[in-house]
Amino acid sequence: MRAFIVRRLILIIPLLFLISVISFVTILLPPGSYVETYVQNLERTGFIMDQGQIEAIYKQYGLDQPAVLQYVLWMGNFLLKGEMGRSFIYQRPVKDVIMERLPMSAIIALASLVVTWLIAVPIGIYSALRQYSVGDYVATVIGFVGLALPNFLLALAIGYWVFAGTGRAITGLFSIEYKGAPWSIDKFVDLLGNIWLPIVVIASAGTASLIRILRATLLDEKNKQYVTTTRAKGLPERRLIMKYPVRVAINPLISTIGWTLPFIVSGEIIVSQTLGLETLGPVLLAAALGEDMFLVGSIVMILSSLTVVGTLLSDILLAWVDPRIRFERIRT
Amino acid sequence: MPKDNTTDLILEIKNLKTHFILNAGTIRAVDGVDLTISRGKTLGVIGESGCGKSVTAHSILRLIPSPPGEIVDGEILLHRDGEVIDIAKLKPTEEAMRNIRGDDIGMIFQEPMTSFGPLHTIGDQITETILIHKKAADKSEAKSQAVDLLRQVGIPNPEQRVDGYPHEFSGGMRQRAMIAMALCCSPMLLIADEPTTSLDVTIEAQILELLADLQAQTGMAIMLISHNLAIVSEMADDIAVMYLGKRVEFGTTDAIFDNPLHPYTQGLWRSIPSVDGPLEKLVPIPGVVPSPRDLPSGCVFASRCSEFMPGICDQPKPVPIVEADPDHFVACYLYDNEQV
Repeated sequence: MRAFIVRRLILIIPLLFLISVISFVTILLPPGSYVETYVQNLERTGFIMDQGQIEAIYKQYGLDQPAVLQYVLWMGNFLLKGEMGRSFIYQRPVKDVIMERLPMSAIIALASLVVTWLIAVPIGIYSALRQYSVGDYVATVIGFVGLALPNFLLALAIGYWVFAGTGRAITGLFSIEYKGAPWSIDKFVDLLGNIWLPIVVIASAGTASLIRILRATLLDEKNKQYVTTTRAKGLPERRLIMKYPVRVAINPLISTIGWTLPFIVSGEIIVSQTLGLETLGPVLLAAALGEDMFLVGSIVMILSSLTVVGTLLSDILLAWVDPRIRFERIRT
Repeated sequence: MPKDNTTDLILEIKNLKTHFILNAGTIRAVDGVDLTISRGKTLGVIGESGCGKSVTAHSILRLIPSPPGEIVDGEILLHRDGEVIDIAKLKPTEEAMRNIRGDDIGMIFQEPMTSFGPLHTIGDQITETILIHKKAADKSEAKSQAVDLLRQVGIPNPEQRVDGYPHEFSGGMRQRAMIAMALCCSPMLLIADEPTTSLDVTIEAQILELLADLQAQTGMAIMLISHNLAIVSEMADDIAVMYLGKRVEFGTTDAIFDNPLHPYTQGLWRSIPSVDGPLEKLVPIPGVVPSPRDLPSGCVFASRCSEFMPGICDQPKPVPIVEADPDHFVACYLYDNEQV
């Protein structure tokens, strides 16, 4: 098991390198640059820059260098100093912009993942064991509605109902009086009052597919020979179902963690934008629109790394729960 | 029916009817079967695919999925410690039924490759059975019992293999482990549903020998289900021949082999090659098995029978069961003196 993990960790290094190159190339691909947009915006307001000034800006950001050199500088700074360049839009180091928002993004992402599982797993088991029952149909309908409804619409609707019912306006993660305030118990309580909405909305999008995967696998597993064999041993039905077929049916869900992690971070963009959350999503959107290349590149890097780490995590988890996947064997 | 000593009876099946009620119609998979199994004896049940052998076996442990399967009539009487329990009247999920499964009656199946849950060790799955039926005080005692069982069924290095997973066992080894699991609570009856069908011939012989040895040691009864006549003749004391959900003939192994009465049994014998006899032409039974959805109203074998008697065999009523010789029963008008 340890050898398996070490091997996978070593393989990640070239993968991350490739990802960083591709991220960087992606940033350079669209025509124009931050400076051009900046200059155009100034021109629109009537301020004309001369060529010397424009070149000075290019130089200031290192944009006059060839692309390869720009990449090497960017990566080198990241590896040696942990710097990710400077954001043009925010006029601050990219690292500060990201670190300010990443924790909240991560909390929302992980909480959504947990909520998704907490909803999807029991419903999936129920749906499979009571196939074609009223409950199965109800769960299926609700699941698909969650999948089909645009997230932002659901966020707006729930936000409206909460406001209409209680007078509480959920905009952002904190109420106005706590924004920028130091952490306190009151602020935390205020956060809890707001953060559930994005969590529920994001989780609702993911539950349907998990329910369907679990239901389909469990329907298949519960009729397998080993279930009959175990029933013939005299195991109580509930224990039998939970210990054998459910355990097998959970495995495909574990392998979805790999792509769920980055999806939850990038998938919250529209919800965060709608609800005005101080997370990474809206920053990515703004940076992409403003061609803020180092910021976009760094966020894309983080998302891609999350995919890689998520895949590794799900592989390790799978190997841990499923002996058939482990590489070592008992020699006979 | 061997009536010599009724106290030795373990299981009596009387007029068992297990039907599958589907939208497209009712399939009468088992339709009036009588069987008796005595202590220390082996009952062989033979017949073609789809004749209801497996459904009979699964009915005994109430493993028939319901819906659509249902025991619509009949009794399955388990004789245990002087009391008689009618399994057919129990609910499949109730505790009394669960206590019978694995404890009084063990069962092994046709598919050793898929018979164990894939995510738990063989040892875990055996000790689990031991602990459910409270045959051991704690986990470690149960585990040492599991090791002993694995050794008993001929698995090498049982101390290590007990922690192995099913996919690390070969087919033959898995069937041995399966037998160990079925026997872990010393059942009085072992139901073996085509235990060697998916195994190589050499492994098949080993498994059958193992079953015979274990029977000699423990005195358990075996219900051996097979479509393989050679296996049944080797192992069984009594044989029941089934055709389309009915028991068409029942008697001792010698009687069934030396003096088969039912035209279907005779047809079965003509369709297998004999190793030591003179070279004969094999004669297949003509026709195909009718759909169990649409059974003939008289004798179910009438459409394929070489001795078919018009006006008698196709009467729309059940065929009488005749005791043609002592303890040798046949469901056929040929031996019914009132008709012929």
